[in-house]
Amino acid sequence: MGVEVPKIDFTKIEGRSKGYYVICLIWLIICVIGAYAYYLIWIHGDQLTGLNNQVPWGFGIAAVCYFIGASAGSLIVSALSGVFEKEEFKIFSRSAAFFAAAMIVAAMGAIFTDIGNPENSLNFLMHFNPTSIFSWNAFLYSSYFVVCVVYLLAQFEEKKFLTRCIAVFAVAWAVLVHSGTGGIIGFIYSNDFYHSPLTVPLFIISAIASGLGLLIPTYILTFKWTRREYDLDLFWTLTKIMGAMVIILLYCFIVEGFEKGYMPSSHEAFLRMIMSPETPVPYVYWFGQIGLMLLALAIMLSPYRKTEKGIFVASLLVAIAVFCERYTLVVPGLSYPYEIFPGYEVVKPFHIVPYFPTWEEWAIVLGLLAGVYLAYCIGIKIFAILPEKAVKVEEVSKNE
Amino acid sequence: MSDALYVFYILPYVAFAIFVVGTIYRVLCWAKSAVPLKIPTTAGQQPTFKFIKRTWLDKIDSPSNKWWAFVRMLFEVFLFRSLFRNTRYYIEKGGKNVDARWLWLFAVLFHYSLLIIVLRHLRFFTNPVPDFVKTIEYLDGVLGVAIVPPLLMTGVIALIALAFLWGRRILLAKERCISLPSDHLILFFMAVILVSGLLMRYIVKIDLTYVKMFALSIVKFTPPSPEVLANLHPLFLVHFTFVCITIAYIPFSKVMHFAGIWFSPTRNMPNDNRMRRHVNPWDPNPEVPILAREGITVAGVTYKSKKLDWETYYEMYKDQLDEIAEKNYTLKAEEF
Repeated sequence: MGVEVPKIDFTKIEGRSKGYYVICLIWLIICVIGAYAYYLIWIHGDQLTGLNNQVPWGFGIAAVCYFIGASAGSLIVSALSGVFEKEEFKIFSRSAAFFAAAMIVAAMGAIFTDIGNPENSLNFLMHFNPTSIFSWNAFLYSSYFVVCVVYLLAQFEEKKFLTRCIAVFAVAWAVLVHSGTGGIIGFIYSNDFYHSPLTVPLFIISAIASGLGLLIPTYILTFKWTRREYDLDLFWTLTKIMGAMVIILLYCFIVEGFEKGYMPSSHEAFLRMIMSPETPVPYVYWFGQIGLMLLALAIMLSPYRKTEKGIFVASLLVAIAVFCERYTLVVPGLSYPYEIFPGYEVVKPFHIVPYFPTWEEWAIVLGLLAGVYLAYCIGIKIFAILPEKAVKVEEVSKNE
Repeated sequence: MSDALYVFYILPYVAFAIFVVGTIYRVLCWAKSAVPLKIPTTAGQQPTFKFIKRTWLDKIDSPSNKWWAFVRMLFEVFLFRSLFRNTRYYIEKGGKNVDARWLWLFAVLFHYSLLIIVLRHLRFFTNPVPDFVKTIEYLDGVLGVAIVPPLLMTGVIALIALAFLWGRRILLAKERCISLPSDHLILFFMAVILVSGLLMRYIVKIDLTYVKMFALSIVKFTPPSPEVLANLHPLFLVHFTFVCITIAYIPFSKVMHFAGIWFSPTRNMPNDNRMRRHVNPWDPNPEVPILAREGITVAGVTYKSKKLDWETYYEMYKDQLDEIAEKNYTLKAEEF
């Protein structure tokens, strides 16, 4: 009896300590500041943002990519047990799926706040355009949220077969949704700075990296602060997956960098993007994207790699680095001039339109992220999504 | 304008089909399930004791025939009698009972408010609007005439009651502990529907002409014109979509208690144990008792005996009984 898979106890946290309320309050305050920033933009218009005619996509769109990525990454972590039969990761299946649902809501929130008037988000239905990837993404994102919720419900009801089916479907859907998001940017064939088939797989890889980068520190802190038993080996396995993703990412950056630097249409723009410090992009590229990833990789290869602090810091660095990656993906394509008509001489001097995100944009994005964590804090209190102890399954069965 | 908006025209039919099929399926399942034991919970006496005088209240409490069981059922359905009498739910550490009848109050308020709200919505689905709907709406808003449109009491009451019912599940430790995600889900649906409805009436004030045209087209089975669809307010679409989702979700949820209550054996059985023999449908006419024939399987071992005596029982649950014996057979209520 119960030899195959020991039952994992998912329990709600007590959530009555002072620390719990303080954490919730901090998230709430950040949320309120974000809401206030959105209100200001609502009242005074987009002039409060750093966006302009040439750079209509900025921090907010980078955040959309990031949140959707983190969501897809979380869902893949959640499905490790359901799809790939890694039973030791079943303990994360519920909370990671919850994260995925919260993250996709944050992503949609980032879109709504970027649109300005959320009512316009209904335009995809009012003026449905079957050849537009934006029209498709509206369906993909909302259906992805529903899939996440149904997947969670199936897990709560402990319907094994159903959970398995939905997990397979959800992972496929997550990859599809995320490819759709990557496609928005990668398939813009008129802008050589964006146009790259590598963008789509790159999105999936960085999605897994950022999902893990956010989940690992969250779990470590959660288990520590709720005084639940946890096994660092589990996190180390996840960190190894993340490390592999980081290595692939760095490799892809090199390939893409050479390709873009070599192509005549984007050669000059790319060199300026990584060299000239007129906009924050070179710093974000070298220090944020490449630097942090190398640093994280160094930690993951150093003797400190199996310590709690090492894993914690490395994951956090990867999480930040992936955001920088999203930023350097979205902004420079617009900020740096590109050849609109390749092969023709354009009578337009080469000049960069700099884009600096304002505090309002920061506040909205951070507010959305805080909203995800607030939902997580409340979620673990009212839903049974955290395991009683996060230890390897074999050990549990030995103890019993 | 595109044809994609016709999704909203098809949605209610799909939702309603799921609701009808699902409800029939679940009712049939309940109707088919066997009731092996006679378990009417009562607090009163049977009429076999002729010297005890029974008032009508006693007859409701301990119905001796099907009629009084039906009356008790009506009290249950319309006044939530069990919930009102359930005062022993919260037991303080000192063994003192805590009056938790505020739950009954808010439950009653919520259910009746919802009933009136649903009836009021008939004004969108009928043309001309029947007089009783107008009367209900007038009476509902008679206290709130200070603003335009009049503040309808049921909407406010339903919102407050919902806040209490949800707050109870989030803020009370014991309730939070036993609440399932599906409990929160249905409350979330209700909250979205209520809040979006109230917003549409009092704050955003959407154009109801198109809403009514749309609603009429649904009940008349005639697709609305693209103009109507294009002019529906987004907030209305949110309200409408969530109503459809909720209707489709009902058969899978605890909201099925509206049908399930009629099938609860402790409520719908008359207390006539001594007058009529209750035949177990699983085992209607046993020559050998089921205990001796098939036995009871506990932890993989099957025990067969003519009568369940202490020795057999002890053997079955040795571990647990020993554990209780270690504590000198004292059982304590769990502390919360």
